[in-house]
Amino acid sequence: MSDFLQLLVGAVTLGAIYALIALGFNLIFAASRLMNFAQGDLAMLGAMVGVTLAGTLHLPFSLVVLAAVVVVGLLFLAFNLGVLRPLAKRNATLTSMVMATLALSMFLQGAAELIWGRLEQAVPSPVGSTPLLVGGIVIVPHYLVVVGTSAVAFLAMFFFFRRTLTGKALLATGFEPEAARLVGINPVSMVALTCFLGGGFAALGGLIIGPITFAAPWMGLSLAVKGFAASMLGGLGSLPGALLGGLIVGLLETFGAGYVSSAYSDAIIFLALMLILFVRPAGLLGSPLVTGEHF
Amino acid sequence: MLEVRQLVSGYGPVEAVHGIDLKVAEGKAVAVIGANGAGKTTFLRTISGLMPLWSGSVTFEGRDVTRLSAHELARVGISHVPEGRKVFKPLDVETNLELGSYSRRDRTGASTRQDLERIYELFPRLRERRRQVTGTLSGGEQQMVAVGRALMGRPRLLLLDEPSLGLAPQIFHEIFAVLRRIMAEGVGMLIVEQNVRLALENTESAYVFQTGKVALHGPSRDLLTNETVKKAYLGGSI
Repeated sequence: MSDFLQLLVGAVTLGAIYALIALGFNLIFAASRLMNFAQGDLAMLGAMVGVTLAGTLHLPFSLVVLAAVVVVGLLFLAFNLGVLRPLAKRNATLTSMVMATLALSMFLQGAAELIWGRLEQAVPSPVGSTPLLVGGIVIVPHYLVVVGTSAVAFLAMFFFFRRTLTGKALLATGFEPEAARLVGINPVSMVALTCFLGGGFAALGGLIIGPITFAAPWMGLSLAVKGFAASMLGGLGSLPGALLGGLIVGLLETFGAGYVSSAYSDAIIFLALMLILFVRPAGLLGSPLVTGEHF
Repeated sequence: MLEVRQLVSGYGPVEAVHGIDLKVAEGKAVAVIGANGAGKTTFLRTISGLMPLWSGSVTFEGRDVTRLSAHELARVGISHVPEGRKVFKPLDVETNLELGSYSRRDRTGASTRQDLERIYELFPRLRERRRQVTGTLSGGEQQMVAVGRALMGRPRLLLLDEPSLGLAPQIFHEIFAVLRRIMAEGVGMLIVEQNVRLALENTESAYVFQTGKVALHGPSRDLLTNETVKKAYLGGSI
């Protein structure tokens, strides 16, 4: 039983990070129907900002969080303005824009290798490393930082989409781009907003996973794959779907590794993904109303 | 209030509208009728900025709005109810209506509530369905949402593209009764309509489009008795 609870703690922590990456992924998709394959590498950059600012420069963690979110958010916003927008103006298809994000992913990985080297580096945690013992279960203090950060991010986004007109306008832009323009919504600024937020949430995920897994330029791929799986499982473009999907992927990975074999944990995730999509093609919480028209 | 001069536009490389002149006066309804492919929808979509204008000019309330994009036109007081309604299906009715006020820079919580109240008074059915997901509504109710959403922007000019399409005549008359009340407040209306009789019976003047040009233009009641219109569009010879 305590083994189970111990694994559960790890699973929820990992799930909280995948949920954050899926959140950024879903935000961008919700407004523009674009799948951003650079999401994992934006997360990697967040971790690398942590390496430099928290590890080398010893800046306070709140400042590091702010810097990672703003820098990576602005970077992806710049990519939107400098690459995606010009492509859209030349009537590029969504598919070629997705390929552009894949190119960005490779570029970022290469650039990170040049700046930070190929080796794994530590990202310091803002809290101590003395484990807490709760009823026989070991909890690393940083796990609480991870779960807390993710919870705050999701609560903020729930408020944004349920309570603000800008949040609703963002959803409307994805559902009916033309009708959105006709009520005065500028889709260009909506997409720009999601690019900033999507990049920022990815950076946040990378920054807080850093103290658990170390940071390295090649860490992005695994994060992107898990975040993408979380997004598909929960429902592409859905906010609660990102949370649920992230947690399920975290559970599958941790329990797969704990009870079966760590060699098979990724296979288990994708087997589950296929089975769920077979029964619910739009994901667990995805609305067929949303996805049906676009595929 | 709306003056279109020598408007030329099209889709892709194909010119579909070849130099249209048209005027809409305050509080008046103007119909654009014509066969399929006559350029009616292209014309309307060009005015509201959804399609690029090739040449010509559009003036609204004395202001040159030729180069404004769709979301900017919504902000100067032109609301377009698009063909096929294009409601935000996964969102509930009230959210759809609220989004209609997005174009208003001066909106406040109080002004939005007041405008919502007005829409619910005009379309009592929408009040009953306010928390319902819009995609589950009937076609007529969705059209009411689309019109209500457009009115939430407090427009001074309303563009309607095929408002009767797929609706039972009774529902359409219900919606048109509301539009007449809006017109009485000075709002102008430009209606593109396939149902020629319906269009001519409910407007003051009309333009007949033929292959991207104005073939005929005059008071709607005169066009109703015009032999050419009767033969071509009102099934007079059948």
